[in-house]
Amino acid sequence: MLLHRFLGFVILLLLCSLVPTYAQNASLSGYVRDASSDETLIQATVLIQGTTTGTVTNTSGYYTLNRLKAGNYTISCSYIGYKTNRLSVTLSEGQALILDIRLEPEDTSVEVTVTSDREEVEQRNVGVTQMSVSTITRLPSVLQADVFRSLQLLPGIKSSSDFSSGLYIRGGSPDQTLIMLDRTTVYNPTHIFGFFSTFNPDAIKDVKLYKGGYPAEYGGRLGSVVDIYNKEGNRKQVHGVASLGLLSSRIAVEGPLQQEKSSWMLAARRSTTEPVLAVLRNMKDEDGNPRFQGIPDNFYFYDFNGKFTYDFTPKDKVSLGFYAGQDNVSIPVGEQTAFKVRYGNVTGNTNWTHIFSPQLFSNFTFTGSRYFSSPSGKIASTEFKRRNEVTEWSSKGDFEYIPDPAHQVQIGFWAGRMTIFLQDSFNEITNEVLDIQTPYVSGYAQETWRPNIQWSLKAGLRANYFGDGNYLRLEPRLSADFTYSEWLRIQAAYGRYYQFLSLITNEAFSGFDVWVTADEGVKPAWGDQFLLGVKTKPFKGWNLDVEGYYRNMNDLFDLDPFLNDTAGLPYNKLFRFGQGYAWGTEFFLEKYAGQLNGFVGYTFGRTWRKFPNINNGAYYPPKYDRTHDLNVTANYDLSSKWTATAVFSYATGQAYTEPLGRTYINSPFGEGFANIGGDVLTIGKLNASRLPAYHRLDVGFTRKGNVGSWGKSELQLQLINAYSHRNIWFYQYDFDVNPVKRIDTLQLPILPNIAYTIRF
Amino acid sequence: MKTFFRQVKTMSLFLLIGLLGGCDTYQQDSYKKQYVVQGYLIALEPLSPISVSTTVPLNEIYSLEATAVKNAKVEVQLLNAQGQPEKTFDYVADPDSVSMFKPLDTTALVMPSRTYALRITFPDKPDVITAKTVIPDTMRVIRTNGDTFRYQQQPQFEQLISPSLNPSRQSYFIFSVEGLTPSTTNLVPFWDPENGFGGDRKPPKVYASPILNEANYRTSEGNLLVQLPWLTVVYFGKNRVTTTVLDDATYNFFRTQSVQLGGSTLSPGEIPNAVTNIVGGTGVFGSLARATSLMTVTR
Repeated sequence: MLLHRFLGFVILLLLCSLVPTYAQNASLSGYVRDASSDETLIQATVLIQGTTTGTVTNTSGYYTLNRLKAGNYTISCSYIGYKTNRLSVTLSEGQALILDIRLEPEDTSVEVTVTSDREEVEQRNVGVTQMSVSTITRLPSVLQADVFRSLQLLPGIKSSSDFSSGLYIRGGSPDQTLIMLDRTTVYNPTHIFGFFSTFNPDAIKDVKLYKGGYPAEYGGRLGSVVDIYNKEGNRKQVHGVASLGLLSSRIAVEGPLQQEKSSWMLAARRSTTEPVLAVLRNMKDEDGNPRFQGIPDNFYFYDFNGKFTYDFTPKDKVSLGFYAGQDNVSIPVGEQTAFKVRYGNVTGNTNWTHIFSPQLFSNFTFTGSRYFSSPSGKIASTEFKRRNEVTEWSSKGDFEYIPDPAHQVQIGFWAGRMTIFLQDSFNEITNEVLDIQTPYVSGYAQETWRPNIQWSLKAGLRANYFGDGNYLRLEPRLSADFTYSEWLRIQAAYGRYYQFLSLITNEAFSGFDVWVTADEGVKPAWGDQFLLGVKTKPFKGWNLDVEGYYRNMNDLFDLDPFLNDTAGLPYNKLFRFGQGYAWGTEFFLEKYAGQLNGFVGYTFGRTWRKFPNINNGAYYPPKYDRTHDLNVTANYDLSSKWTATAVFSYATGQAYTEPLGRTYINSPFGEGFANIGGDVLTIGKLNASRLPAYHRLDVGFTRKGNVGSWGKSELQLQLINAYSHRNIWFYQYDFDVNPVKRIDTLQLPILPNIAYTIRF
Repeated sequence: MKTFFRQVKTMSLFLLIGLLGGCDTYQQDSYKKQYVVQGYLIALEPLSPISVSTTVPLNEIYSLEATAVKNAKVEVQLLNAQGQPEKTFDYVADPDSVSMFKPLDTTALVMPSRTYALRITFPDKPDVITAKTVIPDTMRVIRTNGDTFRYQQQPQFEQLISPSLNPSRQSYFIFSVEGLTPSTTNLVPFWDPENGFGGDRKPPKVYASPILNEANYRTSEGNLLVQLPWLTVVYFGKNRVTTTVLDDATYNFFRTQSVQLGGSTLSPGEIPNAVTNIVGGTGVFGSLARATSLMTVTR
């Protein structure tokens, strides 16, 4: 009944959008571009000065203003980090003026000195966060700038440890976040087994994060969406950037093929750890034996990003993009043992943007994504190996219809085929654990209605069909935004979300990640999200956002952690099925202008899980539950050349299980490599204890300069964990001593970082 | 100024709502002493001894002598199809072995596919410990592909085993290899401390596989064809190869106990309790069926 009412409401909104409400019929549309490179700008603001009529550019950088009266207008266009551009235009009756607007970049070290109201409005929509690439590269980072580690500083987003770039957003596990690069799903966005994310900051144009309550145009995950777009490339002249760092070095070059009509961008990154590993490998102790065991023979990662864009006509733009990245490690452990793992991702996409009319914009994408992981090893001539692959081909179509400034209708589809293959071999016995080939289709319709300057209502419905198990699921989405005054906005959102995939992972090591799907007997996970936000501007140059959320998670399916062997088991017996919920309140105080700027993010939240036969069937907090989470970042312009940056993080200690007692059970089988028998721990409640609180201070200094007349340079000097507080990752227990000794497994010590970047 | 105070009030309200909702009722509980039972009945073999002891707090010294329970009344019952005791076997404390109770009847053989119940009571306290196990069906080695093998040669030692029938599930196995001439000069290269993965670990006399499912080895005739990984061989010379089938109690206990200290998809530090069939304590009262064969490993 509720669903019927909701559908009725959506249809009503859609019908509203089709009824002409004004007699005006002139229109203004086009792309907003960076004047220096002609790169399109996502979510730039276009306003008709002296009126409340305005819009923002979409993910293709396109804007439309319809139902305008004939006459003379001043168009004001702005974007963070760019000078506002004001243009005079004259529209005649019925004219559809195409106007590409170019913005000059601000020449300042701090990019957040200029903000535009409408853009800020979009960025401060409920559940939405946007992070600029310059913020990502400026923040102090462990060995190299990283998109996900920067996102972890925002309220509501947590990391599991210093060693993980995984995003734990609003009480959800990393697999509850859809990660997309140029509209293509990336299934294992990690390098160095989770230490870094795969995204090269030099190649990225825009990072948008929906922490929750995401709109109907996205689907497939219970929690959040990270939507990343790569640069299209400079359409005017060849430019590049090269960076030398402690962990990796990277180069990116971009330029035009045909002036102002086409562009290309290529970016490459490779680890440069070989010299360090060679030194470690050759270090000897007093007896001449190697000081360190297990130093890899071979360890490197690399990735490539590329994009080619061509405007066939002013209304047709086609782009081809790709990403390819891989990690390789080979570890010898004595003469009789060797271990190798190779894992990575390859993605490709073809995108066609077509403008049917000033009112109707469309985008079609064909994507391919492949994740592979192939660990193998040999112990005493006994071989083991795994073949683990996810391959996905999909096509998408999105239409935006903007009949008038009060209405925006979006409809679209996403259809594809996914193949998951997992094969384990041990001692020449092969077990095909997974061989899944499933089609999926989803479609959505969404209407944004702005009845007046104060209200914005968005209603959408997404329908998903998943082939394996023959599941059809409907996801209603609803959000409302009320602007009470210049300083206060109140927002609310509700959404239902389904997830047909689950990730089997060990947070300490992402190289073995395996994806599994819903199927017969394994229902898709689902959850509802409720959000309430208050966005304020307490003072000039300051934002204060408060957002509360509650979400539940049902039919979670997770590999049974106690399965030693999966051979011969029906698919549904591989899993445990559970549920969970999370709630929290996030505070985000931002000073976005001035010599001193930065933000404070604080989250007060909890998350809980429940699985049968675990913790006596009672709810328990997963390890990444943290009641308090505080991040403070500050940038200070010391001079025109020097900038200082600091990041302080504090969080409640992670949940862990405190062993209460011990005993010893003899194995009736003898010793083995599977820890069967021996010391046994008795526990009470699962994860009822807390590690000591986590805190860390990172500081950095950036010096900008010139390299002769042909380029600019940037030297970054950073100190990670400046006061060397050794946060605890987890405890281990040494049973070789009696009584048992608890051993702290520590996180990162103090680490210096230096990076030198040249832009030419 | 008025505006400012209005904003402060709004924020304070949200903060208050958050703080009120955040009182933590999920507190760490405290240590409780538990009885620990371990015993494995083996199909077609005499009744096995049973150990009864207690746990100790993690931060205290553990010793079997100190935790052994001496004054227990231990009995094992063979149950009929209705679950009633058909025969009771009394156990007595073994003066030669700490914590162990041994059966008075040393001739009765454990009957495959039958249910046995354990009952432990105490003369001086009302505690009662109970557990049940269904004995796995027996199996036998039908043939092997030889009796002498050069270390790491191909093909490996191979045995064909008759199935251990279980009406409700496939069988779960552990394969183990016992060196019958264990000495430091007899170690295979992998266990040589100079070369190997074994490192400074003391080489085990018996080395076992993880728990493996029957489906890996099932032939079209329904038998099991098992190739022994060289990884399980520790010593040159004569070795006893044992294939053991696990009952539910042993399977559940060891598959959960073995991941307590890592090695699974559980987060580091998330430690589950081992699943036990002991009511009134912890540990395992399980049963096994096994078949053995011999092979000689040459250099």
